[in-house]
Amino acid sequence: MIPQHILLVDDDPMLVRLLARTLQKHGYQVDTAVDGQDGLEKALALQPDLLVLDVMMPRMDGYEVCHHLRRHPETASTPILIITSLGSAGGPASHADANPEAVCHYRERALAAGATDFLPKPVRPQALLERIRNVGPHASLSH
Amino acid sequence: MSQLPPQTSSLFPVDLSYAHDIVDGDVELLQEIVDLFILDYPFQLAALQQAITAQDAADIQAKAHRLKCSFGNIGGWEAYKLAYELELMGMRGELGHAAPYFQELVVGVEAILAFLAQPGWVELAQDWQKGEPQQ
Repeated sequence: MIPQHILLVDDDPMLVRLLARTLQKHGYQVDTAVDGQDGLEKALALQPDLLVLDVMMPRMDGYEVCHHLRRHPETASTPILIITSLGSAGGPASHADANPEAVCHYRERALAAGATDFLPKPVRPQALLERIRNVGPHASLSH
Repeated sequence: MSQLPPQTSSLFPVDLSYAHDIVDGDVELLQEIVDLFILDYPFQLAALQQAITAQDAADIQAKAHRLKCSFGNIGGWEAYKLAYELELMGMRGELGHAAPYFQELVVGVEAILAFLAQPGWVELAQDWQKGEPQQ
């Protein structure tokens, strides 16, 4: 099932605007949350088809949000796509300056926290769209 | 037509090709993102300066990380790298060079702002996407 309702959780208003506008242009219903606590509450209340979740945020980080959501039956299998610039040294994700070892480390950490997939920042909206189209229910992926 | 001189994209403090690419050619959205950057960065920069003054390593890491993301949204890679260095300093608790790096970052931000204040930078971004400007 391709998700239709997406919750974007990030404390960066620029990125939220950029991604929300792009997703809306492609027909997705988008809700937003400004930090981890807000994201957790909205995820439980709105039951989106998919979360796009930042890691470093005020009040609650993305890993903790993941842990909480996996413990709730309503969100246990909701796909969660973690995005982070932790370990990103500069330039777009495909840039030569990207640090593959660090990116790999944070990817593993995201999956261990219960994420379904991982995308390093800076996020190109087109790359995000591709990931969203290909994501399956969380339980169908092993990690 | 842009009022800016034709140069290679990498010579600008903002990666025009990247900035245009991430909005998929939506110049109005690009302008919105930049407007948000201009509104947001003074608070982020002040917060980072405060963390450095307080020598609070965890706070330096968090504030530099947040600022780094802002630069990433507009392709300001030189400033991005400086913010990343500050983020690492905070993470490692090695703050001896934080103040000079911050000063360098301020210079980088000023370069970005000066560039974005020039009329025609949006059109220049469009030109880059089309393979122009012509020499």
